[in-house]
Amino acid sequence: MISEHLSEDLIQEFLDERAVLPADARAHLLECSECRETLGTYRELFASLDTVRFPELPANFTDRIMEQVETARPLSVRSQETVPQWLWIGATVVGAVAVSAVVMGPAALQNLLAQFTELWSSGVSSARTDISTYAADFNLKPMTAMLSAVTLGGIIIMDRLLVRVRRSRRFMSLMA
Amino acid sequence: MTDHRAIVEAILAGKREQFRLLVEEFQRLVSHIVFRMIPESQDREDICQEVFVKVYQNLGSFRFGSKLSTWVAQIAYNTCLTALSRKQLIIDDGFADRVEDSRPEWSASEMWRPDYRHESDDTATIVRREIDQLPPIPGTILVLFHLENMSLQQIAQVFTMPEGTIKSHLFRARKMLKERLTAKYQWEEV
Repeated sequence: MISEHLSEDLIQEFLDERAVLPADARAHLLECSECRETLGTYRELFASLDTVRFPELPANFTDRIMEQVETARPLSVRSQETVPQWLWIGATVVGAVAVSAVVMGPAALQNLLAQFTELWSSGVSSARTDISTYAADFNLKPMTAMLSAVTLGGIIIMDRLLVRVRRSRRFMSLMA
Repeated sequence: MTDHRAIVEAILAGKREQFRLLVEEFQRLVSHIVFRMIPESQDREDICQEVFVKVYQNLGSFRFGSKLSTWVAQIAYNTCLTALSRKQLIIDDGFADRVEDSRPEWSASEMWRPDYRHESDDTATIVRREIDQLPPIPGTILVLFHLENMSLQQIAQVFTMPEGTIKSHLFRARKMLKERLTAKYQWEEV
């Protein structure tokens, strides 16, 4: 059995059911009326805390909030409505490839893909010297770049337009 | 159980009336924080309103990384800190060594006015009055733990403090409460 009194932290931990009283602490409790009294006081305090009720906000509080939010709008909605950036990048790549396939024909695209694969495998240094030759042979460099830029630009403009449409709809609904 | 995700998505989709459900659900939580943290009673209701407007305006940024109640409580606590700093009030965390009842920054508040037990007061009323006498942060932690049934981890998120610090505040608050109650009243009488 321990001779020292139980710490109030241990008693609180025990009542919070975060700690189990060790055997020597339990033995001490049986012998020590002071510790039993402290435990009893905390037990009553914990029980009374469950019954405490604080004054509530006025009954019309919710209505007042709803009046205020009539003129406010969730600020961060835009970030949820817009499509994630990775999706736009993916869509741009797919779009560029699709448009290129239509304009140049599938055979030319297949050829281009094969040459890119070859470039990749032959290494960056040889690619540097060869890329201009390949591009010149197929006359693809300006066309591919232009198509990619047009597709990317188109997607960005569409995104901005959609955001503006959504904003104006929200504004109209707030005004209505 | 309330489907908070569905409610939030509905509000963001423009069904503003759904926000009423959140106000009704969380107004007790918000008032528990604001009423403990703010000494001036005339400011409290305005701050509670400010909290809900902020919740509404920032709903789109809530990603359900925590419970919605924890997020709302965080906004309430931060709004209180802003309001206190506006008034240049210092928060007593209850850990500083000081003479009992020497709270000059808060003394104007009716919450700190010494009250005496009336014959008709029941245990809950007496305990409530003594909770109101606790320093703001330990008092708020005590109320969130016992009345809102929030875990120490959730409270730590609200206050952005380590869980151990929250636990120390809670234990200290309960000890202070016990000492105040036993000093003022014979506990058996209570």
